[in-house]
Amino acid sequence: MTDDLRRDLDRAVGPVDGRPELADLWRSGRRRRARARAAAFGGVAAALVLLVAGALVVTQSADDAERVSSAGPGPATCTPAPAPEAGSPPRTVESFVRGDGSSAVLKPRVVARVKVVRVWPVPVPHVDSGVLVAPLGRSLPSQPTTERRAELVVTDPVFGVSAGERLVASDSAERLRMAATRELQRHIDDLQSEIEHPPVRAEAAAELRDAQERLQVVQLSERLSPIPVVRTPCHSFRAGDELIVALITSRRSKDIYELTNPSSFFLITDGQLSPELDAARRSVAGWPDTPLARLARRSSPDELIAALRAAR
Amino acid sequence: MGSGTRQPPPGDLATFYVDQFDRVRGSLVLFTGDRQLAEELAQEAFVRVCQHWERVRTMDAPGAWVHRVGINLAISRGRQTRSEVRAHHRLRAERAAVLDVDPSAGTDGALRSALLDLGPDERSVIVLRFYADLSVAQVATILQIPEGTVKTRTRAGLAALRAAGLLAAEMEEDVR
Repeated sequence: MTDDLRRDLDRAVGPVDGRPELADLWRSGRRRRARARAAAFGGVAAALVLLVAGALVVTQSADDAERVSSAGPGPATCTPAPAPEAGSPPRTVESFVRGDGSSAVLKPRVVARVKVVRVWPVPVPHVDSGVLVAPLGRSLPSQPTTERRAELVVTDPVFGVSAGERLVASDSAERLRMAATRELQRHIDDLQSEIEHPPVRAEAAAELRDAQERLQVVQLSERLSPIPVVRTPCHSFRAGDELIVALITSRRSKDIYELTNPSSFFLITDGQLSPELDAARRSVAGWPDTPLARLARRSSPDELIAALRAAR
Repeated sequence: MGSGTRQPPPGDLATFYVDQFDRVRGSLVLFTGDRQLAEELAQEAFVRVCQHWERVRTMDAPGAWVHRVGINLAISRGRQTRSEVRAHHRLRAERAAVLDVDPSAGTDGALRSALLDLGPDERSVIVLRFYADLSVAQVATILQIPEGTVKTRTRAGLAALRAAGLLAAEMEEDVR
């Protein structure tokens, strides 16, 4: 009789569609695996970076202004301050190169493909950051923060600069980003421990997945405006990064540049616009899949640069 | 990401995928009553297989493991949308439409509808025992419950299906 039930259940499932490509699932799975490993090593790496950064702050603070002056066309200091609410990212090519008329996406002075030559930390006065790690609802304590500056070399200008020109960009996000990373990692550890020791809340798996996705996003250096981990217009630059950016000059100094919006950049990895960044952006609830994001998804860096030039 | 993403999936994974994907997807169709959701959950379950393939391939029953992942995902998703489902349950016809079940579509539709009338505990046991064709011990492992509970839930589920006129009376004799 169980055979009858088995047959009925087979029929009840009905016709099945084809299977998805295993290669696609494989790539997704391996990316997750790589990220999970990166997350596991991230804590150690973050601690090391913090130590190194601290040492650099001590040793470099004295001659920092001189270093900055030698790095770009007359730069000055930039004191980071919490930005107003991040607002929406640029939705179109036009808003990327012209702004959208709002304070959320400012009109850039420079749009270009750049390479990050180096980054260095500088100490800054106490800043009341009041950051919130969404959606955990935990405020990180206000604390003195570390600003990082980045020396950028322009490799393919759209406007506002020339090829080979060097700029100094400001980034105050790093320390707070690391604090957010630690907070998320602690939450993930708690959830993993819970899952390995039944009884397990039914929501634990979903919470773990959510936290892991958020960690991936945070590890992409606070590049997404809907995640108010750090409310700053600064992108966390890394030496060696290749980016297409839209920059404004800092309100504090015309020689220091900042992103026009936390999302006004594209990361280039392996000669392509980073699919990981795109995937991370799309994994965030509420992130709009904009015409600009769709264009970038199907374009090479050169094609995107061409589109930006055409839209100017 | 790493070079691993560019390498093709290993051959034993491809074999496992062909053997198991339709079964997992079918189980989830019966468990959730929603083809689209089942497809999505099955894909997610196999992404996790790919993510942990080095470990999964060494398991005694990797097929049971991927079923477990799929069912856990479905339960988790079901609780996330519990209020939505409750609303659907208010009107049978509406629920049937949303859950991709047509109660008037002969025995097949009636069986799927009757499965959805079971609680998730009984439904998961019936689907895993009689559709995924897993043993009592495997179902107990997947659902992390004692084998006795599997048998109890199986009897309860079969009794409900029998009450709905979908099973012969002697069915219970086959429950082991």
